[in-house]
Amino acid sequence: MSALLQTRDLSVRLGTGAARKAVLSGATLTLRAGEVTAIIGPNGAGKSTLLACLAGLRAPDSGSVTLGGLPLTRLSARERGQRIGYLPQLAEVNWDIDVATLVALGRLPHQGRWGRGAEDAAAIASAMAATDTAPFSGRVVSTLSGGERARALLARVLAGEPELLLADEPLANLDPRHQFESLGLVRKVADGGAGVVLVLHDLAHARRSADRVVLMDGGRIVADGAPAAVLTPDRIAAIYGVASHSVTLADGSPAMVLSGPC
Amino acid sequence: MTTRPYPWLIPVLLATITLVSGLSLLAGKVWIAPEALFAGDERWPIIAELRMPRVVLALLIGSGLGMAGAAMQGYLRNPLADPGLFGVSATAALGAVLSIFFGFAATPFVLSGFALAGAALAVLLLSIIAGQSGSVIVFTLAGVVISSLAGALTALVISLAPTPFATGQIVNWLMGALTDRSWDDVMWTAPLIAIGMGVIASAGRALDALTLGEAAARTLGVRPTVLQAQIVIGVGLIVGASVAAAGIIGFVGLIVPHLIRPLTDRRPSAVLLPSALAGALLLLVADSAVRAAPTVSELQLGIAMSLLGAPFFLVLLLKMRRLIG
Repeated sequence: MSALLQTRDLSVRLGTGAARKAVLSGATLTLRAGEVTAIIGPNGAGKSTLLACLAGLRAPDSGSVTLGGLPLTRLSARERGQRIGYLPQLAEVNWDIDVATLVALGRLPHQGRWGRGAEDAAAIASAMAATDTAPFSGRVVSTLSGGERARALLARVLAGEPELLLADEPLANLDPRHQFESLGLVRKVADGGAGVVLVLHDLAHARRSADRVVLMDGGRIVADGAPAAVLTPDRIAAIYGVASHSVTLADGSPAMVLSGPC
Repeated sequence: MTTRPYPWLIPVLLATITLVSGLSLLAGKVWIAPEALFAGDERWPIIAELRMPRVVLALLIGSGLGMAGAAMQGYLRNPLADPGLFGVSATAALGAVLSIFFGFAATPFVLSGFALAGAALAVLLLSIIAGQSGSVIVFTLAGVVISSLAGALTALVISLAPTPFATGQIVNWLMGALTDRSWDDVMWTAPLIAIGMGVIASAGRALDALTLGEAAARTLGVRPTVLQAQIVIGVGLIVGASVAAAGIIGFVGLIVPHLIRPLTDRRPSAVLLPSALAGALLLLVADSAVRAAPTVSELQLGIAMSLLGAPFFLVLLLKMRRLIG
């Protein structure tokens, strides 16, 4: 798998004067196309800050981010929008727009001067088909259930056909079934050749669904590799303070169980 | 609940504007028969020199304010936003009031020049205070500060007015009207409002992206500082020119996008053009009504709009309360 996005020594400090605090230090990372990467870590570990740097939303105090070999800062806002899809943690939809209109917003960076073309319409249709949102395309977003809303928001990002999909806690507020469905969808996106980065809180999902896990703590990347190699009981105990157990399910798939504070 | 845009919205608005414009040329304290619309009639000068510039000005200012209101609501993502919120109208009014204070009320172009200078000052102050942050909150607060300061200074100027006549002139002007406007007023207002509307229209796509919040909009290629500049310049030109030509005419920018939004797919950019047309129609109807009303002295347009706007605002609040409760 080819390198899609690379970061080198990313550092971000917040606050002023003596209260200035590093929220991200020396983060070096290579993301590959076709791979689902889960960024995990306790609250305040710097996950969302790292994701914001990858999306070009936050300029790091030092270090660099390159997309396809080009520094992110050299790309125009529009080019970045065409290549990187970003799903924020608390996705807002401000007006009572319907699902079809919401999904079409994902094409904004691609549209020509005179509005949507045939290519845009095809990408919108394909994103709606992939997320199964076409049946309720005419419904207003505020009337959707949590699961439908999550699918519609994901469809919006997919309509942009991003090379890299970044999602900040996409499973928050979803019931277990919809969590699995969302993860299945992003897997399909990765299988289609895009790079996928998810900030996750659920270690079991990271263990089961990601190709790769990046574990963060105190603004640093403390481990980066295959889920089984990163999510060891010792490491989880040290960083999260909880006891964990790796188990193998009847079908042979790996799973993880947390048994409480340790 | 579904949204379904109405394809006939713009044609219907255009047709109604054409019809009402025609009627407005004929209606007034004196009704003029349609034959006079053809040159050669002795009543033609009443239409060509008095009523026509007034109709054109009402259409220009109404369309500008309607579009500026839609842009403000889209930019602030708030259905209660109004073009006056940035303080541009308050500072433009302050400029005009100062020109009356210094005795320039009757000198052509001076009052408008002062008002436009006031509007430009507000735009400049907004840019300095809000700076390069592109933050909507800093920007709105800066507008509120400028607005209250200009309001206080306007009150000060009124209290210091040299004669009761000057006070009367100032108060009268502040109420907003299109009485006795000429083609000269149209000539300098039209380009300013047209450029302002063009600048706002060019921000349509960015306003749509903002529907998803600031962070998501940025990842869709929106540059917040560019968008902010587009809104400040567009709204500044429209509101500055409107206040300079007609005084403060409130509520158009607030009401119109509300009436229009349910008839579109609710994207901010989809609301812009129909709001401009509906704003033009609303102001034309209101101005024709105050002109034709059988009152001894003409009711001020600004007062008529507020009389119309306040109950509307109340209904809106009650509707929102029901939705929340």
